[in-house]
This record gives sequence, structure tokens and C-alpha cells, in this order.
Amino acid sequence: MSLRHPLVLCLALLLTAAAGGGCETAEEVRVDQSYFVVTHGSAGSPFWAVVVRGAMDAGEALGVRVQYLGPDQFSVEAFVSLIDAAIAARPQGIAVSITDPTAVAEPIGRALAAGIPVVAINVADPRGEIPYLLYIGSDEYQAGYQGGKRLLERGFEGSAVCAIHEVGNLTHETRCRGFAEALAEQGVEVVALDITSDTVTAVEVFRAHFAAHPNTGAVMTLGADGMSSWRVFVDERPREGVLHATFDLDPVTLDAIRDGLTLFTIDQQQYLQGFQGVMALYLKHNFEIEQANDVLTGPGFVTAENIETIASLIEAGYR
Amino acid sequence: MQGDARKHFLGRLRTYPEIGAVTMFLAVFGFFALLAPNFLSLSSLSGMLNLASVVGTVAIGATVLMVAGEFDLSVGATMGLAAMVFIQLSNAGLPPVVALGGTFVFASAVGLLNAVVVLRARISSFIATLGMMMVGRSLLVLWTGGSIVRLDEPGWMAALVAGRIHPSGLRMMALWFVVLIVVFHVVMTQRRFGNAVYAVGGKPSAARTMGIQVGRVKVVAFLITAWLAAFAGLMQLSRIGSINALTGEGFELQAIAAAVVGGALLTGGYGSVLGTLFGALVAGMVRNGLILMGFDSRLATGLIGLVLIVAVIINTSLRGEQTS
Repeated sequence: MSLRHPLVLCLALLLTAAAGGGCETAEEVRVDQSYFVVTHGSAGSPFWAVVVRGAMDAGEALGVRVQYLGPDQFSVEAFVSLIDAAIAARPQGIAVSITDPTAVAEPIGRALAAGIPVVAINVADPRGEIPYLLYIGSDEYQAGYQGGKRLLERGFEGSAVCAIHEVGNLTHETRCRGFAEALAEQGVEVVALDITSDTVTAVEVFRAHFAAHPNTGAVMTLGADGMSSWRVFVDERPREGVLHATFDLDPVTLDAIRDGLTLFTIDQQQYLQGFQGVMALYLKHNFEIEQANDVLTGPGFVTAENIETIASLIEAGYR
Repeated sequence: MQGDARKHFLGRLRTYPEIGAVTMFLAVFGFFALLAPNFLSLSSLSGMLNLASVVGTVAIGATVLMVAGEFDLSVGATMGLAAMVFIQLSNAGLPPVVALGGTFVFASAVGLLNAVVVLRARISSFIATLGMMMVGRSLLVLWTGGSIVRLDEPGWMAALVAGRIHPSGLRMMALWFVVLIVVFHVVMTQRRFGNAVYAVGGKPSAARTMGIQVGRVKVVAFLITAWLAAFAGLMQLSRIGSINALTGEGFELQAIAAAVVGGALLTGGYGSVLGTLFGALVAGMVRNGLILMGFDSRLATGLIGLVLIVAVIINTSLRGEQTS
């Protein structure tokens, strides 16, 4: 155990110094240890590339091998067979997204039975039945709820809109539920608006909504599609005094925050899901250290104040 | 005598395939006009026409092709790809006219490819274009890299295709849509090509004995469908200035739904461009009217589905009387 201590100490130093400077013990590479990160997302997607970056950075910092597996196209079958492949490699730990709780329960059970520690990242088991060590990810309900609180703090008159561009998408509906409940606490009504993912349709839906509810004071969109539709709408028909907030980081959103059209965007800081995922498995395998609670990587807020810092971090692949 | 008059009246109605669509249009329009505040405002009416334009333009092609007895499920992907072709040519600095030409050359290639696969390989067009849809969508995802792709210089092309023409929000694309409806209505009802399309889709063997070149007519129908899909893609691009990997997704089925509400039969030989106009308008009206009435907008898709079914029941029951 004492041998491994300097490495951890070194890592802590590196992290707090936020510089990749000299640290002698980092030479002590444990290539004999290997960890897997398996999710439903393709490593090529802008979102997941950041998770991969976090996992790889943790692997490098800890001196262990990290491999990322994710199907190119969304497929639960392909995802599950990748989990099987990871188990077959007998690694020291696996981080898995619980994308489909019923589908992943069995392979995760097998991994645990074989003594391989498992942590959940990005998506938790909503039923709480799968005995993984901990969940590291965002909480969509909290994200919507905190977003609602922020808009309330800023203050607006009238009702609010939660603009859903994928009706039925669990993530979107959960964000809206949190948002609506935060506002309901102050007696503010939230209308769930099906804007579809087609911008031409969305613009007309916004127009009809504002015709029917001219007292709308705040609008929440749920990602890049909703954001770009809102942008087209307000560029054509400026809505003075209507507050807007959104989810995720993409160029359209960053521009809207810079232009003062959007107050903030909610981000799940997925880098931490990869980094912390590998870290938690490493601590469990080597030192039997188990964190007692889940780790919330989000909601994180990007506003006009921190936008330029975040923009350069997106460029660098950390956000 | 009274029975005769009724028969005569129904007999006249039956000759209009768009009767189901017109009935539903009037019913839905009347309902919202009475109950939805602001429904009859200029901005609301313009909005509905704008909404109908993109899907309606695709649906004109779907109607012509369905009358000819074929389907094209690849139109949604063609919309996105054609817009992407225009963006690439335009962003490379080529003049808009050249970019436009390139876009329609691309659309022609897609239409021809669909026609060749269907006619030469004798694969059902439903299957062949389903495959093409998947191929096309996949290409668009790769080509756009999954992100938003902008048109650098929208210029006069965007203004011509989708610019605002009235303070109410009415856009050029609504005008183009109406022009296309009139043109294709005339072509399908009063020109030899239109007659040939109905003959080819209704009774191909009879069409052949009449000296109609069935294959050639179908190739042209596939071309028209691809051209209109490409134009709809340009409408969307001109309207919003950018596309993404999912541009046009789902339009293939919305277009077929509009054509079917408008009276087109899945079995071919029957359908109406005018009916498609009403079919396309109804969907936008439902979406708009529900919101104006303060209902949950998530009901819209379901209600449009019900309208589709009722319109087809009206169409079928009238045609049934005709045959009995």
C-alpha cells in the first residue's frame, strides 16, 4: 500500500496545480491494470468524445490502461455485447451507462460476480436495483429544477414555456418536469410546448404560442435543436423582456449567450463522468475506497460571465 | 326522384378525389375559426400557409408518384442532401445560379437512381426507396459531421425562395407552394403527361396498349419527386440559413399522409394535387389551432393522425358507392 501512496499524492498535486509538470512518481506506470468505459454513445460524437477524454486523462494520470467502447450507432444489443467484451477482458473495473436497466442488469451482475467493480456513469438505474458502486453523472430533474430556480431569481412576469423538441424523450420530459415543479412552487404556470425538431415548424409553433399567451415571460429549450429554433424565432420577432435559458453547449448556444439573448445554458460536465468513473474504479480496486454517495457532475451553468473560458475549454475538448 | 337527385349529387362528388380532404379542411378550419382565438388573424393564417409549404411541396411529388403507382421514401433524405449540396457549392464561392443548377443535377441523379433501382431491378419502390432513405440519411450524417452547417451568404436566393413578403409573416415559400400546386394541378388534369400518369398507375397493361411508355412515365415521376424534394430542402435552408444531419427527417411520411388525406390511393391510379394542398394545410391548422386554444400541443400529432383516418374513411366510402 505504502508504495502506491506517492502516486496518489502526486496526482492530487497535479490536479490542484492544474499543470502537467514534473512529478517523479508518475513514471511508476501500472500498465498491468486495465479499466473499461462502456456506454451507448459513439466515441466520435462531440458529446462522448469529452467523456472519452476524461477517462483517458484519468488513465494517464493514474498510469493505468483505459479503453472506451461504444457502438457507432445507437443499439442496445450492440451496447450489451460490448459490455460482454469488456467483462471477457477481465479488467480491474468497468464504468457503464445504465442506458437500458433491464438489458444491462444481467451482464453487470456477471461482472460483479467475477469480482470486477462497476460504476454507473451518465445514466443511472432509475429503479436503484443494480448494485453498482455509485453513479457519476447529471440529474436531469435537478437540472430542470435548478434552471427554473435561476430564472425565478432573475425575475419575470407571466407564465413560462418548456419547449420540447423530442416529445416522449425521457431526458427531455424529466428536465421539463423539474423546471415546471420549480416554477410551480412560486405559482408560475409552465406550458409544455411540442416544437418538433423541425425549425420551420418550431418557429410557427412559437408564434402561435405567443399569440395565445402574450404574457409568456420565460422560455426553456432543451438542446441544440430547440435553441436554434428559438434563435430563428427571436431574430425575426424580437421578444423584449422574455427570458431564455437552454441545455447543452453548442456553437449556436454560445453565440446566443454572447449576444445576450440567452441567460444561461445547463451543462452536465461529462468530462467528469469519464475521469471520475476511472478514478472511482481505481480507488476501489487498489485501496478498497468506496465513496458513500453518488457524484453529480451537473447541472453546471454557463453564463455570460464564464462563457469565454468555457468556449476555449470546448475548443480544447474538455467541455 | 329525390333518390335520383341524391345519386346524381353523390355521383358528381365522387369524381372529385379531393372531397375527403376538402371536408376535413372545412371541418377543422370551421372548428378552430369558431373556437380558437386569433385563428383568423393574418399572422396565424400566414403561419399555417408557411407551415404547409415545405411538407406540401414534398407532398406534390409524393402525389404524382403515388398516382403513377410508386412511392418515394427517400425524399426526406433528399431534402437534406440537396440543401447540403447547395451549401457546399455556394460556400465554395460559386454564384447562386450555379449552386442551384448543381443542386438540381444532384436531385436528378437521385431521382434517376431511384427509378433505375425500382424499374430495372424490379424491386418494390417502397423497399428500394426505404433503402435509399437509409443510405441518404447516413451520408448526410457523415457529411455534416452531426453538426449544424450554415449557408455563408444567403443572398438573393434565400430571399427569392423564402423571403418575407408581408408584415404578417407570409413568405415566398408559400407563394411558390401555391404556384406549384396550380402548375401540377394543370399538368395532372389537363395535360397528356398527367393522363399518362393516371393510366400507368391505374392499369399499366391498358396504358401499354394505349401506346404509353410506362417506364418512361415512371422515370419522370421519380424525377419530379426528387426535384420537388430538393426544392423543399432549399425552402428550409433559405428559411433558417442552416441545416443539420436530421433536416427533412420524417417528411417522407408526412408527405404521404398529406397525399393520402388529399385522396391519393396507395395502390396507384387515383389522387389529386388539389387534394394534397388541403391535406398539407390541415396538419398545420391542427398544430396551430390547438396551441391557440390553449390545449397541450403534444396532442397535435395524434389529432393529425385522426384527421388522416377520418379523411380516408370519407374518401373510401364515396368511392365504395361508385363501384356498387
